Amino acid sequence: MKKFLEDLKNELTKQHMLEKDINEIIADHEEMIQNAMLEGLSEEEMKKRFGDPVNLAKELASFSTHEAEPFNIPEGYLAWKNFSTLSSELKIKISLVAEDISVVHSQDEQIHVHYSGKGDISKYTCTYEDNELVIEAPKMSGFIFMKSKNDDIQLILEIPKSLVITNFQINIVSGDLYYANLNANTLTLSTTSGDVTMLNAIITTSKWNTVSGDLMITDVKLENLNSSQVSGDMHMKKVYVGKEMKLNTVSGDIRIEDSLCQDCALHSVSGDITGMEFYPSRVSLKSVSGDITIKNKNHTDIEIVSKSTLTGDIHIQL
Amino acid sequence: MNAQFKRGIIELCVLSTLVEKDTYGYQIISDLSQYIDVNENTIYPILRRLTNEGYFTTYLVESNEGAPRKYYKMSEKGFTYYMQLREEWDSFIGGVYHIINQGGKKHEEILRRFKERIN
Repeated sequence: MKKFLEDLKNELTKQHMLEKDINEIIADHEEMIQNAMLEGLSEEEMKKRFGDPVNLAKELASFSTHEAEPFNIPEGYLAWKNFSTLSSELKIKISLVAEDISVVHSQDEQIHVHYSGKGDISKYTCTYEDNELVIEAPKMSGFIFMKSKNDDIQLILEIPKSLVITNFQINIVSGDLYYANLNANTLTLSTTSGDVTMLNAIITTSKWNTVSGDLMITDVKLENLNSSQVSGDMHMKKVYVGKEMKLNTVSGDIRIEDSLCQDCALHSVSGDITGMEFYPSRVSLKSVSGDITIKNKNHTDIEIVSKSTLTGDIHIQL
Repeated sequence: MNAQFKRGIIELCVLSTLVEKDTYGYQIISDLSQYIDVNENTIYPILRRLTNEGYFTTYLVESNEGAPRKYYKMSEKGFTYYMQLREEWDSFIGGVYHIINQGGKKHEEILRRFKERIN
């Protein structure tokens, strides 16, 4: 059965499970195998009773928390800047125009910035001083829509997981933001037409302003969230807000799945707001012509503080 | 048998065991496999998943025969879940029996009537 334990451990590691979970699972199996031996089971009977460790590991991994997948820098990216960090805290300020940026966790203890594209990287600013990282696109002369394909730039910013991001401020006009596997105390986000993808993060206070870009938010824990969007859509999945969540939309649709929060205020002019398996404790709903629907399987008490609509439908099915 | 379906039934069996008493992982496997064809690969993930969801809590008990054993204890939340699952199961299996026993329970009787009908 030694081989069973070894195979199980290898497969769990392969499935990117957390080390503490792996250790616990192995300890549980050592205990169960010992008990099976005390019962006097033969090696053959043991094999039958414990089954296949590979299948077992896959099954266990299917509902467990995973180690953040290492982010592989795609081909075509070049290293631009590397900084050794001087403190355990970090402030970040990013202001970009049409550049896409991915902000992910670093594989080591350094801050790395990579770039790709045909644009002239030397016109960009990237500094790290007084525990503040600043990335800025060159000041534009002329209009944004005059930018040609010949000066596009994509950036990847890698931040060590051990750093505490105290304040993260990011402004992008038309570029997209991908933010994954990083925690922050305060995150302020503002985009015009760029899309935002946020994955696996813990953020204390966050404020999002978007105009026509879409937001995809998955596996994010927040204390307070204040979001305001004009015509872009938002899709939230597995979002947990400890205190207050305020979502405002003009004509964009909002879809919230498998999420919960304490106090929730949903305001819409003509966008539809749909909650599926969405469990706020208290909720206030306001719309002009948009529909607001909350559909949950489990019956829980949701206190409706206020609801008003002019011509939209408000449906709460519990 | 369909794996997903079987898993649901075994989940109910695991919950039933823990409604009666606190017990340790291997004991559950050993008890259940006396009656149904099931192995550790199916039971352990259920124990772990239901523990993660707060349906069971665990505690260690020293054993005379070796390492301490991890005992599983059903929580109130687990009990509520068990009752819900049980109700679903009862109404489902009740319906299934009604359908399959429409022609009687005895195999010979079912066969005789089938033969009569096709001849």
